Amino acid sequence: MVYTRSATEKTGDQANDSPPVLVLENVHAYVGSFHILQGVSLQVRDRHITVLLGRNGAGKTTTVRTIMGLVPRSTGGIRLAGQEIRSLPPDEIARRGVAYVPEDAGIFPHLTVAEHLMLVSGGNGASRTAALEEVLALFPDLKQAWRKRGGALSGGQRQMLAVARAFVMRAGLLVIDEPSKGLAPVMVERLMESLLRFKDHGSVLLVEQNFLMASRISDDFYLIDHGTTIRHGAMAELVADRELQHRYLGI
Amino acid sequence: MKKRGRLFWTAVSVLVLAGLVVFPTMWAPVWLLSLAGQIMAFALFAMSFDLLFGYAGVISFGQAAFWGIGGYAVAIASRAGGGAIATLLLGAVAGILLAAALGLVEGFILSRVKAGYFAMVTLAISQILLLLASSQNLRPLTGGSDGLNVYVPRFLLVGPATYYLLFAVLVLSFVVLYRFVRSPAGLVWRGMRENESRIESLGYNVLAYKVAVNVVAGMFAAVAGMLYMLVIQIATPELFGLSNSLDALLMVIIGGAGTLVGPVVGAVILVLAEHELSSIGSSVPFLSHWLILFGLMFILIVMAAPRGLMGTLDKIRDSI
Amino acid sequence: METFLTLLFSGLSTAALYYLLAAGLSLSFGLLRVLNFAHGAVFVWGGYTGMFVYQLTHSLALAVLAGTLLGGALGWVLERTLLRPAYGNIVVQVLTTLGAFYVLSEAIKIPFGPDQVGVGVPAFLHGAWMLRGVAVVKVNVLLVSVGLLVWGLGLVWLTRTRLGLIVRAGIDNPEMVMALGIPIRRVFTAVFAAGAALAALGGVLAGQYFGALSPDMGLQNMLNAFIVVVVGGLGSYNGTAVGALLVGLIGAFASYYLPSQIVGAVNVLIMALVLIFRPEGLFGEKEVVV
Ligand SMILES: Nc1ncnc2c1ncn2[C@@H]1O[C@H](COP(=O)(O)OP(=O)(O)OP(=O)(O)O)[C@@H](O)[C@H]1O
Ligand SMILES: [Mg+2]
Repeated sequence: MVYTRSATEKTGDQANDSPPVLVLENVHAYVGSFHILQGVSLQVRDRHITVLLGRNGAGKTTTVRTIMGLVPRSTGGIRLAGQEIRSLPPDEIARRGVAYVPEDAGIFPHLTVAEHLMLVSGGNGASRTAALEEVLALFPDLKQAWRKRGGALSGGQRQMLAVARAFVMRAGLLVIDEPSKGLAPVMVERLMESLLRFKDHGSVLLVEQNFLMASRISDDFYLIDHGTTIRHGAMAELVADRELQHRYLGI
Repeated sequence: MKKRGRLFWTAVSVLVLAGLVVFPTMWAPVWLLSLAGQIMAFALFAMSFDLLFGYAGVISFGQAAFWGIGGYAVAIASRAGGGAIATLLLGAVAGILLAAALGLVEGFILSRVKAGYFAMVTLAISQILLLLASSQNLRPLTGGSDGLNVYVPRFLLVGPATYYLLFAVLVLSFVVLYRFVRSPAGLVWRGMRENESRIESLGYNVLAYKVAVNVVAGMFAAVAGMLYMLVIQIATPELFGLSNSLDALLMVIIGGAGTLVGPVVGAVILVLAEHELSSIGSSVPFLSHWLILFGLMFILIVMAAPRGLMGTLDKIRDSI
Repeated sequence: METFLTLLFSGLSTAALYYLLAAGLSLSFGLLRVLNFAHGAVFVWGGYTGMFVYQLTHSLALAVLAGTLLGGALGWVLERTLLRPAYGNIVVQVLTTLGAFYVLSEAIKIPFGPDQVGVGVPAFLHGAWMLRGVAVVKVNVLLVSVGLLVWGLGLVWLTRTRLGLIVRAGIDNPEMVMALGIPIRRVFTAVFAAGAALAALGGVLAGQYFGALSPDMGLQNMLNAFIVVVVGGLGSYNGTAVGALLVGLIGAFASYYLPSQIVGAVNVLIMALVLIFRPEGLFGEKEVVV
């Protein structure tokens, strides 16, 4: 069972009725001898952007790494399109339709931009070129840097390449960890636009410290503190609740 | 409960020590004393390795380099002085200093590289010492591949004298090493094993601690090699061989790493087993390949019970 | 001049031999982050297999094929049984591969005995061609050709194939490769097996080169290969080749003036100096080793 992006555009409220794409139920995770996640529960709705918010060190990165199967020891339930994926290896999880942009962008220093995209576009010629064309239209700067190695890219270029690579995978769920970190404002705008475009076909789980950006594009929010999800709801509620923002995000 | 356990173990230790002191006065055939001597020399050797492996978390496959340096230092000095005690002591001091110097160099390398790398470097260094010791060009000094006979001072040949000397050195070394690992420095080593960057961020000079542990472990291994010479009375290039480094590793792992007592238990088990198997091996051809069984056992222990005998016993005791 | 050229050729052929061993060691370390201590034993097993098959068939091609395949199979088994359960635990991997080295080195003595044995060499590899007073030993030509061939094929494989692309990405960041949906563990097995196959191929050729084999050749050759890797620098494909050339040539020229044990000591000294003053090797990059 592979969760791929929907062929049809969503119409009205139809998507609200379809079951959630990703469900975490009381997830605990351990790194070494540290018990880092202590009960994380969340849902990502189909073709919605869900943002995970929390202070530095709250456990956001650990949550998405646990989803990707990159944290060796965890308990609880993680279901993708209804199927349990918690004990699967990361590559299997990715093949079931999850594209991941890690916190440090995960760019390979010795591979060129072209090679980064080739690595994930394994499909047949036609769909591969189509996917490539599409992301290059979104991020034309990458064309300029086509033959540059990852190690020689600027921070913004790396982040763009990481997002482009995730888009080429044509996954149904995009898991993306603080993409706006270190990006110039104009780049952040472009990034937001592309995430909104992604929503037409798939779902996004976004980790973001930039509250302004998060509030503009997200549909749902989850607040995480000390490794536990403590609040969730529609983004609009959080935007209205200044006290909550202050208490948990220090805004 | 815990207190009673402690009392029990103290009582056991006192009884064992007393037994070890008393038995040679009643019954001391030469073969038994020699076997006991080998066990004690290997016990100290394994203890030195435990300092490195069990406490500081350093993997070396070349601890035999120090063992061999100690051995050859005593052998060369004993030949030069015809077994005179003064030259022998001089040789011992020279051997310890040489071991410390090698430990210093290796320690610097240790601070620059990662785990597997250091193991290979130490293996290479001990292998080169083996080749040099067996070299024809150095034959006047080392006796080449035939090795050197060791002239033991006359008084050590009387009854269980060698036994008591080794016993005294072993107990003394154990006390010194025990205090060492319980000292603040010992805590830092254990911290390095768990999480090196954290120790570094706490402001400790990791380089200095790494060099220090390698030097100290090397010096004790050299002393162990010297004791071994008093027992077997011949130094051959094989002292530097991988099989000796592997023996130390196996003793520590069988007995339990990071316990200091474990390696002694491991030495008892392994030396006895090698003794038995090599004598059986001469009559049962298949068993002459017992080294293979040892290797397989080693792999299995590493994969299944990395804490070793003592660690596992501790765990069982804790769970009761 | 003749001495110089003769030494040069002999140095090139030892360099080729070192290269076959070092390439597998370096690639496995670069990708799997495992220093394979069983490498030297696989080398010896390859050598003996080649010798045995040559004795039976009198075909060098079959000997090379059998030795290489056996090496690959050994590598496959070692990766599956010893490494796979312990990724992330370097201590366990280092200890178990050393244990495997020990077991394999002892086991080869059961059929072939603990002492040196002679290896059959086909007639077309006997002797040397004389070129203006310089002896070009035929076996050396074979070694150098195979070394160059392996280097070239490896380069094409790494830069022109999809598997090569995955391997290069994996050397940079294996976790990310996995997170992109690529089953890198399978690539680990393949690369480790290929490295072992190269070591075994080196063993077959070493048998031809020395005309003899002994069970304890593994350790010394593995250490030399390791020195090559240290000098060349980890993670640098061409660094390994240059390292092999340097160590091979220095060895050849030094052995003209010095006894062989001292040459070994010179190699170890070079390694120690490189590690102390430039631990990433001559061509390596800092971040790879640290
Ligand atoms: N390898 C590790 N060892 C020890 N503690 C760790 C490790 N990785 C993470 N932690 C701890 O786990 C907690 C959660 O970390 P995590 O990276 O998930 O937070 P985060 O919410 O992503 O923070 P940030 O906003 O800084 O990215 C932190 O307190 C961190 O110190
Ligand atoms: Mg984070």
